[in-house]
Amino acid sequence: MKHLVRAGGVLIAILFVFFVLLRVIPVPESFNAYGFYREKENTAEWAARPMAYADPILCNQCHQTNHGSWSDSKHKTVSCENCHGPGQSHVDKGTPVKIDESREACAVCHSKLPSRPRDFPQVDMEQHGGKTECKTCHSPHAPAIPPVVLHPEAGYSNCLLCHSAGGLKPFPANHSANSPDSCTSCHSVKRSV
Amino acid sequence: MGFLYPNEAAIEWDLLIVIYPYITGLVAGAFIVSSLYHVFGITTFNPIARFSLITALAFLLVAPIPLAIHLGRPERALEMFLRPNFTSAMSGFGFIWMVYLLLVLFEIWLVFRPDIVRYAKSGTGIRKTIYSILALGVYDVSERALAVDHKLIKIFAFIGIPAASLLHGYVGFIFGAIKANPWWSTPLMPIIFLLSAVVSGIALLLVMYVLSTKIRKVPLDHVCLRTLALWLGGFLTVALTLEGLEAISMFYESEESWEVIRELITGKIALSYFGIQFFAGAFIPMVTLAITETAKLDEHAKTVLRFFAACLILVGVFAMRWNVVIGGQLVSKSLRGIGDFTPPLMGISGILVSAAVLLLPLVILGVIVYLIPPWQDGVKPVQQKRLGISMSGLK
Amino acid sequence: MLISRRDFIKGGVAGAVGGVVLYNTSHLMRTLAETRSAQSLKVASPIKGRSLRFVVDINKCIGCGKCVKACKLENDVPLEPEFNRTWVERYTITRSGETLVDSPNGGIDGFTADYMNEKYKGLDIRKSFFVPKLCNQCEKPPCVSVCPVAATYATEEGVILVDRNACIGCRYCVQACPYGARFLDPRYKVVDKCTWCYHRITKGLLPACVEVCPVGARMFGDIEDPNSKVSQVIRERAVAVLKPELGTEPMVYYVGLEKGVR
Repeated sequence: MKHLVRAGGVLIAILFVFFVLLRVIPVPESFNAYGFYREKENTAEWAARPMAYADPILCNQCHQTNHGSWSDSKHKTVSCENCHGPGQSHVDKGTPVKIDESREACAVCHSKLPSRPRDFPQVDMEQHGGKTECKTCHSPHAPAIPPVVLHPEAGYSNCLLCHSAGGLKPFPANHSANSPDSCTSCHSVKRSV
Repeated sequence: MGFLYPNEAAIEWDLLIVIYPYITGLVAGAFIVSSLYHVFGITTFNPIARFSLITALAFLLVAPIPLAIHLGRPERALEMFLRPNFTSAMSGFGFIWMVYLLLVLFEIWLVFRPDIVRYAKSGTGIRKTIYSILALGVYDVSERALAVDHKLIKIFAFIGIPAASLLHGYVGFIFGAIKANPWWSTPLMPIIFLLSAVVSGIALLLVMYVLSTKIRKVPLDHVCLRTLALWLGGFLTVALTLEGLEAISMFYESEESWEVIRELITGKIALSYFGIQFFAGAFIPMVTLAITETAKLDEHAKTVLRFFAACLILVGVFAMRWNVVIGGQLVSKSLRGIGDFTPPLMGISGILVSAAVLLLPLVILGVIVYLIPPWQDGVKPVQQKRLGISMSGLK
Repeated sequence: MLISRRDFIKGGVAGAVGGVVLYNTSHLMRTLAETRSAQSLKVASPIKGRSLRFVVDINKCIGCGKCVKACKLENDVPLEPEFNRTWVERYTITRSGETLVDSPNGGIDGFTADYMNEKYKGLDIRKSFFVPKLCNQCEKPPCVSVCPVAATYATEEGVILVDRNACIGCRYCVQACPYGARFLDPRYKVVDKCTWCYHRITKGLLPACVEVCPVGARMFGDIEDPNSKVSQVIRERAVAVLKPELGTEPMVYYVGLEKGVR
C-alpha cells in the first residue's frame, strides 16, 4: 500500500495547487459585495438601463395644444410615441422627433385586414382616397368619422386638388358647364384653416 | 415549412453538439469493454483490455472540446465549475467528467504501472524523464504491491461501470428532460443514449482492433473478435428495440405533437432516421453479424463482415445523434412547422472543425499508444476470480 | 464583451441617478397636471411580491406591430427578424379547418404589406386574429432551472433576467423555453429575453410595448391592486395561459385565447 499512498500524496498536492490557482484568478471584485451568483448587482444593472421611450406624462408639458385635442379624441388610446417614435432623447437633448406622415404609416393600423377585429375602423386603402395623404382630411390628433375636413379658403386650384375629375371627391359633371370664377362664389367653406 | 417562432430561425445546437454525445458515447462503450474484462472476467477480451482503456481516455480527453468551443463565450467555460447551478443537468457535466477522468487515469496508471516503471528504469534522456514523471515517483513493482494494484484496478473498473453509465445516461437526460421539446422529452432518452453508447464503443473497438492488427502486422485473435461481435450484436438488439419503442409509442399515443413529429421523421430526417439509423446502421449490421454466426465462412470472411458491420454501426449511431440533436431542433415548439439545417463547411461550427475534433482522439490515442504500448501479444490473461466482497481485497 | 464591467456599472450608476431625477419630476408633474388619459395608468410602485401580471387581449389586437418596434428600440434588440423579445403572430383558420400561422419579420412592420397577404387572397377564411407573444415570466421557469451557471434567475418581482456578465452562451435555456422567447444576442454572444422592460417598471412606468399599444391589447399591472387595469380584466374576463399542460405557470394571461394557439 505504501507506494500508492505516496503516489496519492503527489496527486493531491497537484490538485491542491490547481484549485488554489482556479480560486484566486477568476474571482470577480463584486463577489464579496453581491454574493455567490451576484444577482442583485445584475438586477440593479438591468433596472438602470437607459430608456428610449419617455414617461408619457412629459409630452403635455410643452405640447399642450396638440395634447389637448388628442386627449379627448378617438385617438386618445394611441400614445404620442406610437406615431412620433421614442422621445426620451427629445426630452433629454431636444433631438427632433421625426414622424412618418405617409399613407402607409396610417395603413399599418387602418388598412382592411381579415384578421383585425370587425369593430376597428378599417378602410380598403386601394379604394379610399387615391394617393392623398390621410391627414389632408383626417386630423391625426382628433380624427372623426366622417372626417371634419379643414379647407384652405384661397384659390380655385386648391379646390381642384381634391374635387377635379378623378380626384378624391370629384364635383358633379354639370359643374364644368358653368365655369365660374371660383368655387367660393357659390360654395361656402364649412371649416377653414 | 409551416410556422416557426421567429427566434427559432437559427439552430442553436449545431454539428458540434452532435459530435459531443457521439464522443462521450464512444468513451462509455470503450470503458465498459475494459470493465467486462476486469470485472466480469471475460478473459477473451485480453488482447484489447488495455487498449480499450486508453481508447476511452483518448476520447474522454476530447469530449469537452466541442462543448467548450460551441459556447457563445468560451472564455467563461470554467464558470461551470466555479458557480454551478445544481438544478441544471448541464452543470453536472464538468463534475461527472472530472470524476470519470480521474477514475480512468487512476485505472490506466495502475494497469500500466509495471510497464512505466520498466521504461523509466531502462530508458535514457528525455524518455527517462517522461516515464519518471508518469511513474509519480513510485517504483515499487514487487509482487505484493502488484497484488494490491490488481485489487484496486478491479474496484476502479467496478465503480467505472456506473460512472460510465452516469456519464452517458446523463447526456441523454440533458435532452430527455426538456419538456419544451416533444422529440426529446421522453424518460427513455437516457437509456437509449446509454445503449447506443455501448454499441458505438464496442463497434469502435472492433474497428480499431482489426485496424491495429493490420498496421502492426500481427495475427488477429479471432476468439476476441467473435466475443466483441457477439456483445455488439446483443447490445445492438436492445438499443434498436428501445429506439423503435420510442417512435412506436409516440405514434400509438398520437399526442398533440405527433403530427409534426410524423412530418419530421417521414420528411426532413427520413433518410437519416429510417435510412441510416435503423436500416443501414442497425438492421444490416444485425443481419451481417447473424450471418457470421450461422453461415459457414472462413475466419477471414467473418472478420471482413464483422468489420463492415461495425463500421455501419458507427455511422448509424452518428445518425442517431444527429436525428436527436438536430431533429429535435428542427421541430418548431409551436408544433406547426419544421425548420431547416445544413451544416456549413467552414467556421467554428462547420464540418471541417467538427471533423478535426472527431479525429483528434485518434491522434491522442496514437501518442498514448506510443508512450505506453497496450499490446500484450503472447501474454496469457491473468486468471480472473469471480467478483465478490471477499475478493475485493479490502478486509 | 463590448462594454467592460466597470463601464457597465459606471453607466448604470449614471442611469440610475438620471432615472431617479426623472421619476421625481414626472411624479410631481403628474400630481400637478392631474391629466387623465389612457397613458397615465401606471404601475403601483414599489412592486411587492410576485403580483405583476401581463394581460394580452387577443380580441383587441390589430396587428400593427408597434409593440415589436417599440421593444426593439427600447431594449436595444438587434433589428434582424430572428431576434425578438416580443413578436406578433397571425392565425388564420380556413373553412376547411386548416390553421395557417405566420409572423413576417416578427410582425415589426405590421401585416399590411402586399407580400404578406398574397397567400391569403382568395382563401375561404373562417376566422383570423393576431396573437402577441412575449416571455411569459413563468412562475416555474424551465429556463432558470437548466442554466448551468445560474446566469438567469427570477427577481423578487418574478421577472426573469439574464446576467450578461455570467451567461456562457450554452443556449440550454433557449432549448428549454417552450415559448421560443429566448435567443442568443449576436453582438454579446449571450442569451437575451424580454425583461418586461425592467428598467421602466421599476420606475413606475409601463413596458414600452404596453405604452405604445394603440388599442389596449397589451395590459400590465399589479393583480393585487383592485384598481389596476389587469386586475379588473382578470376579474371580469376569462383568461388563459399558453401551453398550460407544461406546468410552467405563466404570468402572461390571454383574453380570447383560441384553441390551437400555442
